[in-house]
Amino acid sequence: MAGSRSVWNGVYSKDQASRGEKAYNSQCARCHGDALLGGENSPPLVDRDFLDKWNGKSVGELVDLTRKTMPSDGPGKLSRRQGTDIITYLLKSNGFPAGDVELDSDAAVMSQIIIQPKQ
Amino acid sequence: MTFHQLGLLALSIPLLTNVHAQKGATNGEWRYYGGDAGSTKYSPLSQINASNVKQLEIAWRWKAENFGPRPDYNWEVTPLMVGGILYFTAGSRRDAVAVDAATGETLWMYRLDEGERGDRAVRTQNRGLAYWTNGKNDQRILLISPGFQLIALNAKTGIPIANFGKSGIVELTEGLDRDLVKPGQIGSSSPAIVIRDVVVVGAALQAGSAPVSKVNVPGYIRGYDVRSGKRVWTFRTIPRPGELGNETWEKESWKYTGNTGAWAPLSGDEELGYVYIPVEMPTGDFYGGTRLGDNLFADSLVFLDTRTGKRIWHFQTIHHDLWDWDISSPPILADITVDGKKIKAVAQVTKQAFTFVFDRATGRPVWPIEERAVPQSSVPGERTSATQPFPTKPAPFDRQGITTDDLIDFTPQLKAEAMIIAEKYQLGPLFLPPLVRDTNGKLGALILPHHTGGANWPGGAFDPETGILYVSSVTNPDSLSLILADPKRSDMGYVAMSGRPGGRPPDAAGGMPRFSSGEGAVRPNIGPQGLPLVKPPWGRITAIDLNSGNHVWMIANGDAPEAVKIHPAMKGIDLKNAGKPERSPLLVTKALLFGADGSGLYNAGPGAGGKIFRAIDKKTGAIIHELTLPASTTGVPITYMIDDKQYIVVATGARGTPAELIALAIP
Ligand code: HEC
Repeated sequence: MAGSRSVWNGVYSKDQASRGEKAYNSQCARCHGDALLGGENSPPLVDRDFLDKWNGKSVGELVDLTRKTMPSDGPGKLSRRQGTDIITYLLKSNGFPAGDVELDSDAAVMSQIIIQPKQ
Repeated sequence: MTFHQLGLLALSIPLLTNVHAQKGATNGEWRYYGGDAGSTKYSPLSQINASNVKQLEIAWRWKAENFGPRPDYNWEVTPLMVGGILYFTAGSRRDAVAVDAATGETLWMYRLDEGERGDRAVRTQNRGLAYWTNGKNDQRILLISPGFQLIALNAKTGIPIANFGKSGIVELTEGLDRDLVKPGQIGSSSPAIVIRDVVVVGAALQAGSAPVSKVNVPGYIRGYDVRSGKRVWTFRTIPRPGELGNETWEKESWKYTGNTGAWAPLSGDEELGYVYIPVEMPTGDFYGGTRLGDNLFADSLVFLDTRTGKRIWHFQTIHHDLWDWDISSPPILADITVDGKKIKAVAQVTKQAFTFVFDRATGRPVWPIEERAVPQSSVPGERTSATQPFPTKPAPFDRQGITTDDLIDFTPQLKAEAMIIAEKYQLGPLFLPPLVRDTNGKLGALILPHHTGGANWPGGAFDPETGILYVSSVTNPDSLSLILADPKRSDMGYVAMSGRPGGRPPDAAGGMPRFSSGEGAVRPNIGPQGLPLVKPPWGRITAIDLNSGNHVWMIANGDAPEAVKIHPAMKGIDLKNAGKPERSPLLVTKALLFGADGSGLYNAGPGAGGKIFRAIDKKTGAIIHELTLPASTTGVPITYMIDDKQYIVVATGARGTPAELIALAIP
């Protein structure tokens, strides 16, 4: 895809991931766990069991799914900005590097960033 | 306030010779989470009965949506009713609220902003409050905050009691034998109980399916003076050297292991002066290689002297738990007559679908409990207990273990598909241990009931007049599958694969059709075409006579989930008694048993939940009336009487529908 980037290109900033971490801890950790390893009925959000499903898809799709379906007991309340921040924390936790600029929460931008294994 | 002590009501209560006998919620009130200190969830009221229950209507609604920074959808609360006022916790910050029980008008609210410790709360559930009075004009409401502080409020004003702890607040993270307790490590999801002027506090910790570390905080049980807030005792659920049971934690695992709290509501007996503690499992839900040994007092029912915290007796329901079979519901105090002998008993229903019944003074089992040999684990570093306890009576109230005979068989095609799926797992009896993923080509071990099956926090309800125990349970197998923990994420050795990709067939992760509606919409079943893997009923209510130990009846929890009913493969199949895969919250009165589809928002089967509230014939299990509420029932209902009018109040909510209290009455 012309002009598309991958999660290996430093697509978010450290500060943004810290904001995301805070939001994750208060809104998601009760189900997905402190280390994002999943819990009770909720799947892990890191490593093989998460990435196998998301490789080849875009960060935009991940943000959209999260905003539409999470938290699973009361979805639809995360702002685009907050959803994006939380996903940058997921990116960080999965070992994708931070860069200098924040991930833009614009849908068109995010749909161009692909989740993929290191090439 | 329009509450009056009702002479009429007093007449309708049978005069009991022994004032301390278990008799449920008295005086038309509901002073304890479980109705009475014995958690019977029984009320002798009978104004609402079989002849008029069809006329039940909504009397008022109270909306929790604007309590807390985010709406709460899954409100597991059971209010208290004292002197015409309802007291409960509400919202994602667990505010304490007082409401006029006749009108639903808010009288006061107490909100504590705990900052980070509140934001990071380990459990945000709200199950309610405890009440205490000196019998005169000192009336207190005890709240455990999400950040784990104990707060005493003046019941009339909602203002903290100045000379309780520090300005009304007691720090609960102290005294846990850890140098540092971090925000989000420990809290409580259930209220305290007050027995003999001592506030007894349990604890809830993080879910342990994939813990970050084996090093965790222990969920000790503590007693606090209800007047001063001073801690008067600590019962170490993980004993230290020199204390009974320390040797059941090999290789000094007592030093670092955590959890082993009591997250379910507690029960007590004012006359004996005992509290009954349902203890949960230790850290590491499905892997115990970091804590070899029986792990006392994990998964034990413990009797403590309320004044001193001294252990009177205990019974361990699971040795070295590898299944997350915490004791998950309040013990139920039951005065029964067995073979002509009166026994003051305590009954404990469990996730693995057993009912353990003991003499609540001595701990002697009412019916023999046998230690039987169980399957052994193949997981490296694990050591299964050779035996586990099996009550000889009552019989289990749900299916235990799974064979190919249990698989869905509405049509030969579905059964064939179910066989192919089942082939991917190891099947076996109760206590089949978890498996490392891909052992002998299997994804995991299929457990029934699994950790979110059987009975859970809604527990049961007991009718002290008839000796019948009613218990709700779900039949929902799931896979227990371990993977080697990445050492940079966890020092546990092995952690569980939980949630959807967890040990489920790879094709289930992406392509499997899933429910598109219903409260549990986000989770697919593991059975064929997104249907449940096993035959119905998927949720049930069982009536057990505790005088004889025999089952009296069993009914399904309503019909099938919506998404099953509309499934093309279900065309023409009778699903009337398939049962919603959720635990019906139960309330029993002199006249009726009440239940509901349940919430389906948390630990239930996919597609669970529904709006139906039911009145059930206590003797036969026949449905007398079904009422459609605005949303699913999320808490256990209560009943009470004001101005000669009986009310039923229940918390409701659903995915995307913020929590509300609904009061029902006959107009
Ligand atoms: C009440 C429990 C709960 C809460 C809170 C919760 N989740 Fe989930 N989450 C789930 C469950 C259950 C699933 C599995 C859904 C499925 O199988 O379709 C899930 C799935 C996901 C997925 C998809 C995982 C995959 O493998 O594709 C993502 C991403 C996710 N959650 C992110 C979040 C984020 C971010 C938050 C916080 C804003 C959050 N969740 C809060 C329970 C929860």
